[in-house]
Amino acid sequence: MRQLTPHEKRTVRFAGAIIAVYLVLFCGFLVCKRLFAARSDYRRLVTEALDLRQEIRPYQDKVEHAKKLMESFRMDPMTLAATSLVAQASAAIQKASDDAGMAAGPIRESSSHAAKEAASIQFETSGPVPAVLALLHNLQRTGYPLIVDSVQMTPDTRRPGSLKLSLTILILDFDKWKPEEQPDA
Amino acid sequence: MSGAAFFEICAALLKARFGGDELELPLQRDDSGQITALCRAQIIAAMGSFLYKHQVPPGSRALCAIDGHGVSLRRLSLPVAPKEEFQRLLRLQLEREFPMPPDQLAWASRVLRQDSARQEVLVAAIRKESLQPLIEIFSAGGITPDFTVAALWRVARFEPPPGSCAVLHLGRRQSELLIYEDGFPAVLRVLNWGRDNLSAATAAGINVPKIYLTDAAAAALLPSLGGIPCACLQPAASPEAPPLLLRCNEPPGRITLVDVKSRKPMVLAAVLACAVLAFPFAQALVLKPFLSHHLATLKAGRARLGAIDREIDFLQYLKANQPPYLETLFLMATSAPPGTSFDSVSLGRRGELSLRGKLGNAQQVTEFRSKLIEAGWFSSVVVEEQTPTPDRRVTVRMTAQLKAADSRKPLAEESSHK
Repeated sequence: MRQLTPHEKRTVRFAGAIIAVYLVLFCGFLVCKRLFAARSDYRRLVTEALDLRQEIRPYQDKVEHAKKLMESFRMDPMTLAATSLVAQASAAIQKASDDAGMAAGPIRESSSHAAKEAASIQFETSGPVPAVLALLHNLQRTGYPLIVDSVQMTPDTRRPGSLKLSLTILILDFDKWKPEEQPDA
Repeated sequence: MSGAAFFEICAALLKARFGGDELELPLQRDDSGQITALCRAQIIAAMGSFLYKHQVPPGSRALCAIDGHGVSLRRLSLPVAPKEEFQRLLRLQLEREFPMPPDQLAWASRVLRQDSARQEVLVAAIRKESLQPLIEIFSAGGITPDFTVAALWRVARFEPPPGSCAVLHLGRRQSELLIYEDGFPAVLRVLNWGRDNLSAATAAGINVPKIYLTDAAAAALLPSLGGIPCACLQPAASPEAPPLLLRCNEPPGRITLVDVKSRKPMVLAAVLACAVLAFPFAQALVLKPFLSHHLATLKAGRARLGAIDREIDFLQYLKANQPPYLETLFLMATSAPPGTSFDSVSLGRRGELSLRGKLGNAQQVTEFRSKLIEAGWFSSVVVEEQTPTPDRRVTVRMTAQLKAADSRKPLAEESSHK
C-alpha cells in the first residue's frame, strides 16, 4: 500500500476533524433537544402538581371538620344503607326511647316527597320529664340522620307526673343529596 | 529524528535539523555574551522558513541540545524513597549542592544505580536565565523547546564506555569533555580548542586512562591526547535512552504537585459550573417519573373531593337543622314563675313555639313574657289569650318565634348575668 504524503495526511486529518465536529454538533443538538423537552415536560408537571395542591389544600380543613361532625353525630353518611335506612332509623328511635326510660307508643311512617328526605316518622311516647329531656338529647346521637321536625308535650292523664310526647321526625337520605352549587363553580 | 525538528546550540552556532535537512545559523553575541537583537531576528526568520518548509505546525515541541556552557553535573547519593518523597529529598540536595534555589534552575535528574537502601542520581542543572533568550527565540519561531544537555544526548547513542574514562566531542573551535567515573558521567568540561586549532589541544587536568571520541573522523585526527590513548565509541546496539530533559518552568516531580494544587480549584469550579448547568436537566430526568406517579395518585384521589364536599354539606345541613328544643325548654323553665303549670307545649323545627298553661295572675304573665324576651332567644312573644279562672289564676295561650341561630344570646352568658 502506498504511503500517504504529509499533505495527504493533513487533508485526512482535517476531514476527520470536520466529521468529528459535525457529529459532535449533530448529536449534541439531538441530546439538547431531548433534554430541553424533558425539562419542559417536567416543568409542566410541576405546574400541574402545584395547581392540584392549591385545589386540595382547603380539603384538609374540610376533612377535619367533617370528622368532628361525624363524631358528634356518631355517623358516617357514606356507610348508610339506602334501602334499609328507614327501618334501621325507626328501630334506633324506639331504642333511644327505651334507653331514656320512656314508654313507647304508636309509631307511623310515611314516605316523604321532599328531595332530601327519605321518610318522616310520627312517634308517640310517654314518660317523666327527665326521660323526655334525655330522649330529646339522644335523638341526635342515634347514628342516623334524623331531624326532629316538631315536638308536642302534654300531660299524660293516665300516668300522673308523666308527659306525653308526640314527635315528628324526618329521616334524611344521603343518596338523594347533592352539594349546593358554588357561586364560582 | 526524521519526523521531528531538532536543534543543537553551541556558543557560536545554532543547528536546525529535520530529517536529512540541516540548517546552520551563526550566533552573534555582544560583549556580555547575549545574542544580539539583529541576530535574534535573523534566527527567528530563518527558523520560521525552515519549519514552514518542513510543515512543522506552530507550537510543536522540539528537542534542543545545549552545549556545556553553564551546565553543572552532580552525582548525588540519596536514600531509596517513593516518588514524591524522592523529589523532595532531591530538591533538598539541590539546595545544598548549588548556590541558588532549585526554582531558579532548569534541572533534570536520572537514577544511575541503586541498591536496597540508597540510590545514585545524576543531576544536570543550568541557570534558567541562561536559557531565557533561547526560549524567547524558539517561542517566536513557533517552537516549544525541550532542552537537553548535548554531551549527554550524544553519548546516549553509543555503548556506555567502561569504568573511568572521558568522552570527547571535537567541535570546530571548542570541544566538550565528559568525564566518567565508575562507568557513569561525573563532570562536564568545555575545552577551548577544537578541530580548527588542534595544536592548542592539551591534556592538562584530564586524569583518565582512556579518551573516547564520538566520531571516527575525530578519532583519526586525534589518536592520543597528552599520552592518553583515544578511541572511537561503538554505536549502541540497544535503542537509545530517552533524553534527559531540563524543565525550565516545571521541575520534574515538583510540577506535578504544584500543578495539582493550582488546577484543583479550577477543576472544582469547572465541575461546579457543569453541575449547575446540568442540574435542571438532571432534576427533570431523575424526578419526572416520581412526579408523574405522585400526580397520577393525586388525580385518582381528586375524584374523592366531590364526595367529601357532598358529605360535609350533608353533615352541615344536619347540624344546622337540629332545633334547640332542650335550650328552649330550659329558657321556659327558668323564666316561668313558681306555681306555673303548662297544659301543652309545642315546638317546631322552624322555631315556632306555642304553649298553653296557668299562671298565678296577670302580673306573672307579664313577667314571664318579659323574661322570655330578655333571654334574647325570641324575636316575638305574643300572649294570644289570657283568661282569669274562678280559682283566681290566669289561663294563657302564648306563641313565640325563635331568632335565627346566629342572633341568639349565648346561654352561658345569660346564666352568668343572672
